[in-house]
Amino acid sequence: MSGESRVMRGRTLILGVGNLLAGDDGFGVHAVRRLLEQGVPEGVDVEDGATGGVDLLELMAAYDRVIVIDMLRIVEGTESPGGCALVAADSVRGRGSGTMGGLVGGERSPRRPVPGEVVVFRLNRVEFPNPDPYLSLHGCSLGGIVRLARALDLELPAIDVVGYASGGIQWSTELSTAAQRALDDAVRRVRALLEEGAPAA
Amino acid sequence: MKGYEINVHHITRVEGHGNIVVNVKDGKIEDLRLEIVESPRFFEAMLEGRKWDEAAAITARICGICALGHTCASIQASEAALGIVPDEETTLLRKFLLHGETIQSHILHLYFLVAPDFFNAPSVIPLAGSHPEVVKRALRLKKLGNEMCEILVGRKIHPIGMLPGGFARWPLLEDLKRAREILISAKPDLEATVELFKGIAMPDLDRPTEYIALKARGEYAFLYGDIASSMGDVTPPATYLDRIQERVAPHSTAKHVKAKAESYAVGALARFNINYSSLRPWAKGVADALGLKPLVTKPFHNNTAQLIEVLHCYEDALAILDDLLLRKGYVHRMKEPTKYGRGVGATEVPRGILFHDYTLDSEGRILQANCIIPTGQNLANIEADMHKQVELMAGAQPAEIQKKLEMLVRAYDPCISCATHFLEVQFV
Repeated sequence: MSGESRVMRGRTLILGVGNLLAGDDGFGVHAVRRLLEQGVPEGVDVEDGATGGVDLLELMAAYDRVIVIDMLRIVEGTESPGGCALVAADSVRGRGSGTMGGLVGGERSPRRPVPGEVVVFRLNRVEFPNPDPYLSLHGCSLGGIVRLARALDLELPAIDVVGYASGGIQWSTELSTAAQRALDDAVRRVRALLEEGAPAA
Repeated sequence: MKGYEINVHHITRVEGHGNIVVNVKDGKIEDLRLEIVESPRFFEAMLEGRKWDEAAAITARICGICALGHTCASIQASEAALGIVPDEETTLLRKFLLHGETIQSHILHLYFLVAPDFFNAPSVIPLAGSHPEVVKRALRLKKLGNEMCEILVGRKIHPIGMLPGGFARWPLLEDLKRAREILISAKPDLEATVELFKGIAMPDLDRPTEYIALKARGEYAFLYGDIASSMGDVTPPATYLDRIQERVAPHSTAKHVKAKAESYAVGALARFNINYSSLRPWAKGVADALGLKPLVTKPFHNNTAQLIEVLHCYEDALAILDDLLLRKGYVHRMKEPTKYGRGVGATEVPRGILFHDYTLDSEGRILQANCIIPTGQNLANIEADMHKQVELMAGAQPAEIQKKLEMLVRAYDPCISCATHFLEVQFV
């Protein structure tokens, strides 16, 4: 073993993920910066997970509870008539990125989220039907991490995702106007989750 | 078989999105392409207009795997442009951190992307189910690299403490001792890794190739050095554009790069070929036991060279820590700019030489930036190897040829996502 894991029992991690150079993909990182500016309660750690890929597995596994803030892409009609799947695009790519280790088949929303909206779902309850042959190190997104943890029988904490449904990404260090407007909503949703207390995974 | 077509849409287990197209008619290759189809990235444009002290933090975000390598190349370019010469201790700590990144990148490439081919698994996920001990070992070794970074510069994912002129925080003696203990404890996992991969026979493709890597006196160069070619010449980094030429390939959103030969290779095997005599003892012993000695022109042995480099980086990291631990009276001071000009940084990141080139204006803002990523340098060479592989397999079934070609691309450990930023506006 290369040293003992830090175990943060009783603590919660708020993890913002995404690429700050890819516009709205950096939503999670911008959101945790805003949270830090405003302050967080005792017992809560905040991390900029950037495009940490498989590193995030070790980071998240050390906590009892994790709230991930990420940008989501909406993929139309893949799960049920009129339904949609949410693709966590934390390791954003160009063409073909949607299925690359992404969170395909996320919990169905009661209605289709619209671009600009913030949605919340429990990652642990998401089923990943197929092994993902495209899993790489950059592409090891939240879905890839959950798949890997399940294959290895590793215990993951309860992971809630606060996702911003984006209309698209662009190469820029700035968020789109719509994403900037949604930041406060994402922060509010994170604080609401914290107030609910620690759920079971 | 006289005629066949291979169309691999989206090669699996590589970083990013590339396709393979092969068309053979009457036994002749009519078309063979490694298509790079990802959207372009405009990192240079994001740097232009920024102050010099913003560049390292921005470029660290280019790549989740090579964040430290980009930071090192960026800092080196900035320091050259600013007239800063880092002190010896700063250079040692940078080398140490870069070793951590090389170890974790090579380990994950070997275990996550290469090993499934030899275990007949489509990806690391089923491999984790069938051979959990192997995947858990890979994750432990990955963690080793993270911890080396976290203990010494205080952050796992992006190294914010590394700056032009020095470090925002210099590690305490206790930090250095802790890093040493963690490294020592990882040795059994590294020994098991050697046992696992030395039992894997690499395919035998062999093709004369120009190899290019950094070379520095008395060491296996990673952090800095001159640009050395297996064809014999050595060029200072500042004149890199005289030595390599970028060119357009119509089927690729990344530019191809040539040197003396029509294509050349960078990465672990190139470094091994250029720097073999400076390998640390364990690494050299394993190379010798595997019968690997320069000049190795078998591209699948890039995987083997990565294994050897993991051991070298491990041994060298320990030696650096021992050296730093002896310098108890050292007090770290940031160095300040003495000019604003042009500077080039050349650093060996896991996949090969990474160039950063900045020109600053009179107020220290970046007027012009250029980054050349290793995978872009390898693309033309990968295609040349694919040609040879297809010719060698005349008569084989297309499915067999396809599998071998995918393994060949994978052996280069390409980072296609990063390479695509070469694109110029006219391609869009």
